[in-house]
Amino acid sequence: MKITFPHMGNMDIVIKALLGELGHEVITPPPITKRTLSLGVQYSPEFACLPLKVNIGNFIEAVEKGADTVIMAGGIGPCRFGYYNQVQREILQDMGVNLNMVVLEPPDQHIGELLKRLRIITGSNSWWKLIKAIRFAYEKCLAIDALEKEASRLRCRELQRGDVDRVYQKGQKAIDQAKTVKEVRRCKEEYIKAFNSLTLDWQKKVIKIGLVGEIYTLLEPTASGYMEKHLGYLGAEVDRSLYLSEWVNEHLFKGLLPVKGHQETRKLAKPYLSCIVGGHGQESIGGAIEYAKKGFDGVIQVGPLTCMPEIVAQSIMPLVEKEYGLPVLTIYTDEQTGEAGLITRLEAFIDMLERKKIALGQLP
Amino acid sequence: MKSVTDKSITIGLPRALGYYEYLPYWRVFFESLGCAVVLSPPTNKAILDQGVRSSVDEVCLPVKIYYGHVRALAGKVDYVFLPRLISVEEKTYLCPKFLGLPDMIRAAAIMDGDYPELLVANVNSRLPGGGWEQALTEVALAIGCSRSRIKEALRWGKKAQEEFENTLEAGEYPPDVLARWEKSGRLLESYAPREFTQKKLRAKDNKEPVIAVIGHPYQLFDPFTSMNLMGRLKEKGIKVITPMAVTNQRSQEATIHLPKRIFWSFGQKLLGGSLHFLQEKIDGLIYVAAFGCGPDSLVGELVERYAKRSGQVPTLYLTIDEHTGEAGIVTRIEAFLDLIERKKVEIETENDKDDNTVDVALGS
Repeated sequence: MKITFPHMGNMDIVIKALLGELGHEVITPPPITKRTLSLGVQYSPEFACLPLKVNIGNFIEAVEKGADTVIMAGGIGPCRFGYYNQVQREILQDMGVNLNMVVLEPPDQHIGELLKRLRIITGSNSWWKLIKAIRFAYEKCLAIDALEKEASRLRCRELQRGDVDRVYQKGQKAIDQAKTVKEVRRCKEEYIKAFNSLTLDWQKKVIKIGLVGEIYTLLEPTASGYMEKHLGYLGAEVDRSLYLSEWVNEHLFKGLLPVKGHQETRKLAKPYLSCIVGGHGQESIGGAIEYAKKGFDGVIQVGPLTCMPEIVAQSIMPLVEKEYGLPVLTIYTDEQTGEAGLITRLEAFIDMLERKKIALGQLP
Repeated sequence: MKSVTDKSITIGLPRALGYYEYLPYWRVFFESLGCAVVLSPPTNKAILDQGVRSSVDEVCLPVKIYYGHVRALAGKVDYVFLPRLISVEEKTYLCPKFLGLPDMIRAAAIMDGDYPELLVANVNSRLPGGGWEQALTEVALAIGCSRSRIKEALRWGKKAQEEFENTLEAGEYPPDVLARWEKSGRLLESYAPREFTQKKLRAKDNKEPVIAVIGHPYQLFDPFTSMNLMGRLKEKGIKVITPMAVTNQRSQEATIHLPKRIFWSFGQKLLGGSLHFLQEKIDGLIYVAAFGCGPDSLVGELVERYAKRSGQVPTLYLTIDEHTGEAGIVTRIEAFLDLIERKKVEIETENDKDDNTVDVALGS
């Protein structure tokens, strides 16, 4: 069994750790490129949202490398993502691609359901070994999220462009290659230190921007046109409302671990959006309010084009903007999104925030 | 808040979305409570323009139009009934936009002003006892009705809805059935128990083509948003059937082989209806999707794929939004009908040929 999976940010490192630990042959799909996207677009429904298309591209490229089984997450509504795997299965079948799909869905009732499904993959490994593997993978997840967070925070202060990303990439590689939990923790500390020993401009008055929105576009840099990096280069300190480790803890472990969850965020959204709308609609509203309360200068909401939960959130966002005096920019991305056009919009947004700050006397 | 004890209350029902499925229930319920019911005018250019102005660009056309309909009731009614349709069947959802609709409208009302007061209640069959009865009771209590009166009104409402659904499932043309409920005073007519016999899909020796038109009722039966598709087909002497005529049981049976059930109840209706029709003798299938509709992007794709695999039924996939030109739609429909006609002729001549060969064989 040669297992592959769709890309989503740094998730490849985590899944590789998990499956490798269980003694599987893992085939990481090639990094997302233009070819991946064109393959996906060619075979996917035109009006499906971007992640489905990129997934298809990943699958095809992974099969070319010899994969025969794919694991991916599912869902039980109301967001479209929950039905992705069924449509993708039909697409692959019509293409004549032979790929066995194992869908890990948020357990309906109990974490046991998830473990049971994992059992298909774990095979003869003992429960103890499985738990150890999950712990190891999760440790990597936490470490890499910490590095990514730090990189987004510091990128705007680097004196030589690319310094932060060089350290970040080295850290990614080191964590990927770490063999034990101890080693992962050591890597994390080492590279956090490396970030801080860079020559950074700590005097610089920066614009603080919070990113909210849909998980795939937040986590996968290619799906958002490398938005975090560009914001950093444009001089903005970026904070993201969602990380993989938080999602895994909340949805797969049902909040067992003491990692920051989004209960509070959802509570903040209640007066504006009183019921769940699937995806991260409520979290987008709540996240924007959180950032407003923390004194951020602006919020950018990202999502794939036609994302239903984000559209609901976007419709309500003007009210949040008005009541908290918080500028919000909504950006939808799809296969047509060009990086240059995106940068222009980000630049204009940051210019506006800067001018607002200057008018308020907070910036010279 | 105004209550029934003051004076007769006027309740407004927007002629969009849930209206096409639940009008009898709502109308009879409110009229039995002694309220006057006012419908918004049929969709027109002014309503569309208003809707497009008040909503964000990315929402689908039917939701945009809903904004317009609610606004059109301003000043004419005391309240607009705006149920939050979370789930109308157990273990299902509706599309996220239905879930967020009351909040979206409320946000628009606060931002723009000039909206009527809203009566919101959650319809959530996922919770025990959380269906329509609960929602309508909540609403009626809010306007000051007594429990006993509500109970009686619910009884009448349910009866009307049942009759409505039975008539639809018997194969009557939905707009005709709906038209009976569009005038007030239906409540006073006597309810003689009627026998319903299932209409035959195709009368014997009838040569008129049968086309299944698949789409959401709120789009198909609003001549404005569907570019009068149904009317055009009928004009050409085509027999049109829609998923509204398919019973839940049949639709479930048609999708039983799918590895995972669809968690949108409307999506299930469309996919189940399509698969059911594909097994019947139909000459063509038209799928009408709203631009940006999330469920349609996946369900429509599946329908197209299944239809293609069966290889018998020509399909046409129409995506409609407010920029769709009528002429373009007409051309596509005409081309499609020509195709069906040609296919029919081909099959007939082939049958004739078969007959001939048999004759020759017998003669020699």
